[in-house]
Amino acid sequence: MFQYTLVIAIFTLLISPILVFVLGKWNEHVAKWTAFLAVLTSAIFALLTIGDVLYLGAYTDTLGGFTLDLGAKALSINFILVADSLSLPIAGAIYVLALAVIMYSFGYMKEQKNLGLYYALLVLYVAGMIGVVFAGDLAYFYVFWELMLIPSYFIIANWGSKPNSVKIAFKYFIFTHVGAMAILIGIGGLWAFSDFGITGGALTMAGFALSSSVASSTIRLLTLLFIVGFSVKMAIFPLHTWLPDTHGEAPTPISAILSGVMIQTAAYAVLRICTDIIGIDGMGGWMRWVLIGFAVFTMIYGGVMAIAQKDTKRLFAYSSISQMGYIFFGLATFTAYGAIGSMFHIISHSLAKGSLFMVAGILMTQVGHHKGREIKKLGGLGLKMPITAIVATVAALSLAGTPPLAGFMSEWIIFSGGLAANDTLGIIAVIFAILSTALTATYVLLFLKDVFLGPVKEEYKDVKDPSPYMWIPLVTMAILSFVIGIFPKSALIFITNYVAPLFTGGS
Amino acid sequence: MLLESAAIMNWAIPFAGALITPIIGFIAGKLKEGSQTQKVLRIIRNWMAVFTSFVAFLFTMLLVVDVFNGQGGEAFVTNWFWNIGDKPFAAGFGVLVDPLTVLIASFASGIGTLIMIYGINYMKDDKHLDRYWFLMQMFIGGMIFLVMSNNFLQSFVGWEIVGFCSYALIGYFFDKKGPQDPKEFTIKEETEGDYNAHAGFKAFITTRIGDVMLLTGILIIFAVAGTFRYTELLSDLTWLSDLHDKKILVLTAVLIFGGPIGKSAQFPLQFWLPEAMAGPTTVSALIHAAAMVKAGIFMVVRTYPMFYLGLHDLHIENLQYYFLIVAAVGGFTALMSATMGTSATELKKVLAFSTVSQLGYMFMGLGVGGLIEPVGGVMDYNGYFAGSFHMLSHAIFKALLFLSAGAVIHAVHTKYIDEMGGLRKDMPKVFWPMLIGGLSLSGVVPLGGFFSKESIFGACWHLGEEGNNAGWIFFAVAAVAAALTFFYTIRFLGHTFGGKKTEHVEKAEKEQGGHLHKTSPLLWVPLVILAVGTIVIGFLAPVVELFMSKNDWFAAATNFTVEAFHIDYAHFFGHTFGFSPPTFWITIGILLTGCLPAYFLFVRKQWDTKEILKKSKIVNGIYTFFHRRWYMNHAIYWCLRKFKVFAEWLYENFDLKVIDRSNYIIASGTMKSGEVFRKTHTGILSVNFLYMLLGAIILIAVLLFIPF
Repeated sequence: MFQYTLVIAIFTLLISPILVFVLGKWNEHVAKWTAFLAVLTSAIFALLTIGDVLYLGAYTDTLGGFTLDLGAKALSINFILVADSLSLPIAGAIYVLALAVIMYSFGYMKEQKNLGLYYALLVLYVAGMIGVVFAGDLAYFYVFWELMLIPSYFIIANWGSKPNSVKIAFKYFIFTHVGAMAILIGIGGLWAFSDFGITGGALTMAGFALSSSVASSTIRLLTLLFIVGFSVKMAIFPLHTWLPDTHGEAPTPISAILSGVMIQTAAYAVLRICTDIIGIDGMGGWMRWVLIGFAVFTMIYGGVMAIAQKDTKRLFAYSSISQMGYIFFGLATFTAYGAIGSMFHIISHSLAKGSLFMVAGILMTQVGHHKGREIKKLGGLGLKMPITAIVATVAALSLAGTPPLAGFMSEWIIFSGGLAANDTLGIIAVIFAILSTALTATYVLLFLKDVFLGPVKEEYKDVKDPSPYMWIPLVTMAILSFVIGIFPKSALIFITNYVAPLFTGGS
Repeated sequence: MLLESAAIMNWAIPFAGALITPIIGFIAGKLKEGSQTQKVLRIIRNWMAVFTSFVAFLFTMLLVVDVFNGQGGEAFVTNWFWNIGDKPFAAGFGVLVDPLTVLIASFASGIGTLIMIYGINYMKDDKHLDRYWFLMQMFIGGMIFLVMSNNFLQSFVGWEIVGFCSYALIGYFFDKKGPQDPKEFTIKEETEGDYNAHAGFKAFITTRIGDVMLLTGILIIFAVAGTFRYTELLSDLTWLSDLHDKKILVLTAVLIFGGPIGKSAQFPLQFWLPEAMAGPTTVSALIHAAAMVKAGIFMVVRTYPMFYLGLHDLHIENLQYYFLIVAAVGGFTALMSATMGTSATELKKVLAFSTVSQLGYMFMGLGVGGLIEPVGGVMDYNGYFAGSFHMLSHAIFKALLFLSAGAVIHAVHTKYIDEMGGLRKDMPKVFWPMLIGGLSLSGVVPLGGFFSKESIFGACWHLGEEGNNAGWIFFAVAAVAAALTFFYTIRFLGHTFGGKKTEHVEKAEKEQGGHLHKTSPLLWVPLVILAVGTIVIGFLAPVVELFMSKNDWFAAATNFTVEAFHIDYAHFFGHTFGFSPPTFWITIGILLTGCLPAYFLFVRKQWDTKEILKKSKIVNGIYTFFHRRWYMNHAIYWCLRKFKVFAEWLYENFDLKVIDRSNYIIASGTMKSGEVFRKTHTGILSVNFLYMLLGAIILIAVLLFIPF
């Protein structure tokens, strides 16, 4: 219907940071609203593809490319952006959280310095994530993947909690970058083993085919490279240690984005590359059980660690690790239900975890930057800040998989994916997986109990709800959580259309 | 058409009321404090809750008529999720109208209405009533939604709504103090119920463990059968044989039963319910009588025909273990909590233990019923009916008991039965209803409790007569528990209303100006209605039985029929109940065994109970054991504390010191090895030449040994 809408959406995000930065030198209020409007404009342009996605299946923008002639094998890279029924809902989740976070930053960051640069980097960060999701070419996928890393590194180093922020940001950078290296090698391998008759040396994702003569062990190895690379971002045990540090020390709006959507882009990429392009040869067989084992262990481990936390942000960070276990579990089962549930869980988790991090941030601004993080020192705030308490309850329950909230709808689909394999091992895995929802319920409710319930402490008598800039995004996300939970079709109509055909052949 | 909309309306209207409540409350809060408009708005808000529950009740009554006319069935079946290819994805959304759903919906909304009326006066001094009315309506709506659903998944949604509402309502007075360390809870047995936020948390997490099992069971069935719908699951039972072939049928059935174990507070997850009365009394009444705990019974009754047919039609013998487990868990819980009831010191706690015990009876009836062979293609209805009917009569008398207990506590400002006494003359409008409720609880002729409990006895007896010795055991358990029930009923009634006024009561009288406040009509009218219901329901038993048999979709789905009963009392007493003379006389004997000692101890006060406890070590030991709830609560807290310690230990010693540390070791190792290797780059030509020569030799050696 339209043309170049995705190109406009991406380039708005790529170019506007310059404007935001320059305006920030002059007036920070103008800069922050420019950032907000830039993301909003981009979101609207991306949304214009919805008609094509629903009725034609996908919407594609191509903006030139180049070919390196390497003798017998050509390497051609094209700037292709694709919105299909998978990338659009995920991008939607990113846009919602990004807009929420920018608006939330209006209140949260207002005492910080150099805000023009902050908002510019934030928009660039969003550009990276949106680019990863819409990229239709593996090379550009990698470019955006790294673009995601750099601005977030600078934000964490600059505005994170002192004095550790530089060290933590470095840890974050090294970890994710090592992961990215594995991915880059994997992409190279894909190119080397591709069926040149079909792809002609191009790295375009749509229609990518591996040569039929490739040994199955090679395919396994390629998959393993990708899985390890993405596992770093997903923080699957034992590659998770960067996450609690980073999410704990990053400025809260960035923690919300990190936990809410960034680490999930890796899960999206696993489905895109490992499940879709490489397929059953890579992830089937014993590999599935190994991956399921890691996934289940990660969810329980993350949950147990979360119970041990005394700091709100680290608590939610470990909870994110646990939740990534769910998402990875759904993908690892290699069934339609599992994959659908995982992608759905990206959306519901982004709403829930984003809200919870922002609640933690509200506690920090309203109670005190250090006191507001220590769970044991809080208490009885429910009557003092009712809006925050209600929003926190909704998000916490959604995280714990309580119907009719979005979290439940995605979780049960993931679990039935584990059972769809019709295997005793699958049943055992699912029992453990569902058991970890009880762990989730325990730590979120303990958080609610220790922070919002109980008698009001004398020192917190004057604590109030924050300014509307900080609670409007939260309330919106809580309402979305309800709407998606009650009408799961709204998300499934997209996701299922993409995922179901992947599995009609094999399992 | 009427039927269809009524089946939606009876849960949608309480939900709508719940959503409007905070809006009205918000507007009222913005008005000038104490203004006339504000008062009117708040009155509207309060009475709206009564109104919505009553409308739900009326709609349910329409459904009762429909079911009697044989017009039950599914309605509004739509696709809730999206399709996978051309295969319908998972669950539809719809309602199912049949005797069971309508039975529960009618008492949930009917008793709910009375509780709402009672709550208007009972809660009138509270500051946060928006939350209260929102949650109460949500609770009733959720309960009706749960039972009206036509599939497992939708029921589970209602199941969790009910769970959340109970969490929030038990912890309603959440700003009360609460210790941070679980260790403190069990130091003094009485204190735990004071910490509202903690009690709600305990309820939610404990029932969550059951929910985990239930959800697993549901999803296993879904994975095998490909549907969540009750009607489809019953009409095509191949999934049972499929599960049996995989050797996980009993496991699945028990997992499904795990949900009811948590929700209906059965052993080993029974320990949350006694603390659940930390919230307002109206909430306790709602949880114990009309909603929440009845959801567990509902789930077992709902799945009962499936497993029953699996056992007796498909002859999957393993399923008898499922029914045995249900009956055994129920029987053990009935007995255990009855003993705890005899030693509890708080009025509401005694009632809470009695709820757990009575729920155990229901499960026992259902489990025993499942073991009874069908006769000539007619499904034996004994246990099925016994369990459902006891659920109904229990709902009525337990609501009555809790609401009367609330009125007593409201008047004398204490919850300990030791501190009450001599209230019979002062509170006749509470005494007589509570007496009726208590007698019905103990199963005294001719109140509702007698008939329903007798039908469970009958089922056990019937099983024994069939030659299954388990029947006799269950009969004995039921008998002992019944004796204990009568014992503790007389105990709390005697302590509360009998004897002389205690110092505490006299003090309360003085504070209220010489005599206790008059009980408001909003409090006692619901009590009288419930008391009348308790008396009447026993005589209506055959009508209820006829009603329960009007299960058309069930008859259509299976080659079993439900015996068509007539309202025929001779038949009813003779055959259906297995109400042969021996059980009747045994029952009377049992009741006297329980009643007489209690009468002399607590009403006549022949002997001083405190003296007995002081003198006899054995009695004291037993008393403490029961009073400490068989030390199970302590054991749970011990485990939880150890688990928290373990989690913290694991975090410090494994996550930080091993995993995270290893990353730094790798990092510093890389740095160090770089420094070590840097030393090999000496820049001295002769040394470099030596290395080159060494390398060449190794290369040649390798090339020689590799076969090309």
